[in-house]
Amino acid sequence: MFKNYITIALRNILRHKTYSFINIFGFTIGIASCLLILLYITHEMSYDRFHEKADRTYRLAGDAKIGNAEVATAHSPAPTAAGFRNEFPEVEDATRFFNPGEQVTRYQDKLFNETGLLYADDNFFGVFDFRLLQGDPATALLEPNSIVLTEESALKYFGTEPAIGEILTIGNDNTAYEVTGVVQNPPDNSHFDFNMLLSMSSSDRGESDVWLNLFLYTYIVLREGNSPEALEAKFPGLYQKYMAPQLQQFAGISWEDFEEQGNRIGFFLQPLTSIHLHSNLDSELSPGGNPINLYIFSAIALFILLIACINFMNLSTARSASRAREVGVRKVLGSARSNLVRQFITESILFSILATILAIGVVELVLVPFNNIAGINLTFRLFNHWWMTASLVALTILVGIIAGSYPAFYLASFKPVDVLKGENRVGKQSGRFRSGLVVFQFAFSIGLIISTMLVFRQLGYVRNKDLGFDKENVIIIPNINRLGNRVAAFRQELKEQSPIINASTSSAIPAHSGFGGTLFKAEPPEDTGEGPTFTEEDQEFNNFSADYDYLETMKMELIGGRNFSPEFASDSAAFIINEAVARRFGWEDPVGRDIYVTGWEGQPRYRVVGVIKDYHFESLHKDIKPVVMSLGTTGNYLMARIQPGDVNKTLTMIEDKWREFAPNIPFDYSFMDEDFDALFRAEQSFGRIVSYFTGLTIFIACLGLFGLAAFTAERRTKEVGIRKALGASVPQVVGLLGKEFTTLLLIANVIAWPIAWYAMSKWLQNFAYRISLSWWTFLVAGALALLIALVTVSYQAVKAATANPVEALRYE
Amino acid sequence: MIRTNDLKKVYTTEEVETTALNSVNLEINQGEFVAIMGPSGCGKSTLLNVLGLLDSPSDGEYYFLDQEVSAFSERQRASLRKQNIGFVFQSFNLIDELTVYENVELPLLYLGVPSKERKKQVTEALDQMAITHRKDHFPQQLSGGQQQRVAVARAVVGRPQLLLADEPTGNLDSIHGDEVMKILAELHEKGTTIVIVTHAPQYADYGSRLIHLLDGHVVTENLKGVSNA
Repeated sequence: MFKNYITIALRNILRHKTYSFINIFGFTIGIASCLLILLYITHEMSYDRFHEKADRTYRLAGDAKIGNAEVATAHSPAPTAAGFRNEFPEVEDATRFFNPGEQVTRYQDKLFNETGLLYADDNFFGVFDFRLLQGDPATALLEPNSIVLTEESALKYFGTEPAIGEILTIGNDNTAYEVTGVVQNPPDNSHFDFNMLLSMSSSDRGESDVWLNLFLYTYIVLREGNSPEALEAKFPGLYQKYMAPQLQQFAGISWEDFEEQGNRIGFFLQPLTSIHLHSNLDSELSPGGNPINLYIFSAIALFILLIACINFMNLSTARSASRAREVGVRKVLGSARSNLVRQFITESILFSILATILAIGVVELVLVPFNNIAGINLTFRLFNHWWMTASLVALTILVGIIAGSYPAFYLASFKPVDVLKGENRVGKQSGRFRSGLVVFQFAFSIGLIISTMLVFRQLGYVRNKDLGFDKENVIIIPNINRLGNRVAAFRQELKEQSPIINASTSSAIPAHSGFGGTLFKAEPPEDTGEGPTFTEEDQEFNNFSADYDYLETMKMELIGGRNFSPEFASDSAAFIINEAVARRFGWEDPVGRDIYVTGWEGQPRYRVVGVIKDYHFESLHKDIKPVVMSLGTTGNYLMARIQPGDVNKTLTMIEDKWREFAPNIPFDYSFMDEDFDALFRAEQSFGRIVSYFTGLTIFIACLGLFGLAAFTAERRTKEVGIRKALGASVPQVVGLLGKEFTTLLLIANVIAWPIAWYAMSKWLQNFAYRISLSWWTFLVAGALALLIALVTVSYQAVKAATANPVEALRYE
Repeated sequence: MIRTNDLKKVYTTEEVETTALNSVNLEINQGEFVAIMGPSGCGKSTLLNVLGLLDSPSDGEYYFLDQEVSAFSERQRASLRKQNIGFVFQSFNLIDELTVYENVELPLLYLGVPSKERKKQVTEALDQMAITHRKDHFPQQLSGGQQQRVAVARAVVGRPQLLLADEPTGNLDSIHGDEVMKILAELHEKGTTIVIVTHAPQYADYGSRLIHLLDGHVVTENLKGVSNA
């Protein structure tokens, strides 16, 4: 019997090719989308789980409030690891590492700027399971000046020659490091990446005993059966023992006074496996994933599948007339309803099986482009995880059952007496249900169109927004201090070149790191004789230093006072502030006012000499914060504003100059506009993924509509024939058929608009600077969907309308 | 085999109530060949559908093989049907997606006949209808007469006690019509009870009994020969 079901199903698939194509194609895309998203989710959830002790490993993160400044950071101080090991028996192990920033690394004549350096404790490999390919994990990081390279780095420096025992020199002081191990490249699903591990004992920073300086990363392994909450409960004792004395020593304030003034400083534990998706602190090691995006993508993938299922339901019921006779015959021959239901569900599962096979191929094909768009590196190995295979099988059967149930019960309910007479009365009753499903499909499509449009409008907005300075045609050269005492000469040399309009050095540049945070106050600190206070009046401002040419190079607008000038010796103790500073202090006329560094009597004082218009030095996700600029020529960045035109030639020229000044230091640069764009990379890839999904959704929905229109046209063949015989014109008939679907589309719009409105307002709240939800976006999206739908339907409508009426009437 | 008592069938739509069968009392014995005649719309097909357990009566009693079946559920009727009743239709009603062989095999699948036995019975039925050479063809590739022979083969392959035929010759020319009627006559001779609805008097004569229906009533009921007397 089962064979008979399969036989008839396959013959039906082959005979009704359009119908089969629409269904299988829709299922394929739906299942492929789900599969891709499943891979994506799996990847995101797999972060850091490859470490054997992952489930009991925690990162120690810092949490502080000083003055009005709140800090939550992934950093912790150097002595905590040893402190935790000594104080808490439930701590099995604790390891630390820190990133020294970009370093020049040399091997013979090879010279690279390396950013992926970590100074790591000797027990690094005891906590993290990065496999050593060569060397001993227990001792590789023990001795000072040891270095462990990743496979990739070893290849880069030594090719296929053995790396162990070779010497690399690192940093400006050319410290020699001996290679003691080669480690596998950290996998994609590690929340931190590195290409070289240096022994912590090589750096004196690891020996720091200051509990108040948070600059490295500490990971703690708890012994089996201990909860992080229980450990956290013991933290206050630790604070009293180690931090309170240091607070008194360094800041001159007792722990009790400090807390009484509303301040706090402390730590908390983050499960290692939740860092990637759920941690968003300062100084994260990598940008991290966004769980919201996972939900959105999952929802979209499931909806695409649902839309494909709806196509199946719609088309199956619409063309039920052609299966009605079979149902009748089978019933006459003694088939029970349940037999028929089983038959039709078998058939829909067959469709979904075929689609799943195709979907696997599709995923193989699109995985590389998808990875590029999403900026990830997924791999697809179907049989690697049993649950992957199992969920695919489950999905296949589920799709078959969801899509097949309604048509199965619908078809199986036909009465043989009705259907065997040759009268095609069936297939009409389910019309309202089908319309409902079409409305649902298009409501979803329209919602997606609106969302895509708004995502791209917002991205366009942030890209083109006036930032308060001109980010175009600016080349940034980092690590300028490597030139030592020739920085000024180099800058001067560049300024004299004709393609370069201006050049400036600074300690921080927009969209980059380098902005320090310091507490300031508007009034001089009182000498209470009891040490400093940290209260709400202490404002945390970003601060940086720059030279005389900074404002001009950046094209920033001075709206009060003046720029720094060599004519005023006093400018060494002067600030140029942005408007946000004045606002925060409530100053109407800031020029000439003094700003004090929080602390006690004798702390430096700065006079405000100029005010610049607020500018976006951070991503547009964030409000513009107060920032103060002091005069300084020791900044590590050089910015060169260049003439538009042959950028490559200018770049080559700059590089040649660099080589003249520093033949042994690799040249590095970036473009400021690209750095800014990079801040929105996540949103851009999000937008692109959503737009592809939108395209697919609309396409599948339209395929369904196309099929449905075909059957509607067929069903109304007689009506069209009669109308034409009575003198209806082709446009009138096309209009008649189009009207039915136009109504559905309008209803779909009414449903889609408020939902899209709500969802997109939520999304836009990610941005401090955002577009408004203009009504025309909704109108355009609705019109677009209507247009696409009408084009789809019109093919069938025109076909029906231009047919010879005699043909149509003879049909009965 | 069949006995009806005051059988009624009323179709109700939103506004109209149509009485298709009105107080039909009928008895058909094992081995009979009954022909039902009457003008269009007199309820012939309705009667056949009710007798064939495709439709249930609105009122009255229906004894099939001494069981009162008028209140049977769909499932019970389907079960009774597949074991005892074969159908032949005017429009053949073969399944287009199945070959001749597979069409004939279908009732045996629903009866749960094992594969070997199935093959034997299908081959026999096809031989009997002289259609074996066409067994791998699809219905559309056959002439009307051939299709109806396949339909008859399908109706009898499960060896039902009762064969119901609703204008089996209606879509056929006279040569093919004669052919099909001869086959039915042969089946009758071998002991199958046959009820046939027809418009054509010459075919009605194949029957051993003739029933005239008009507006849902049985108007005459003659044994063969009596109608012509």
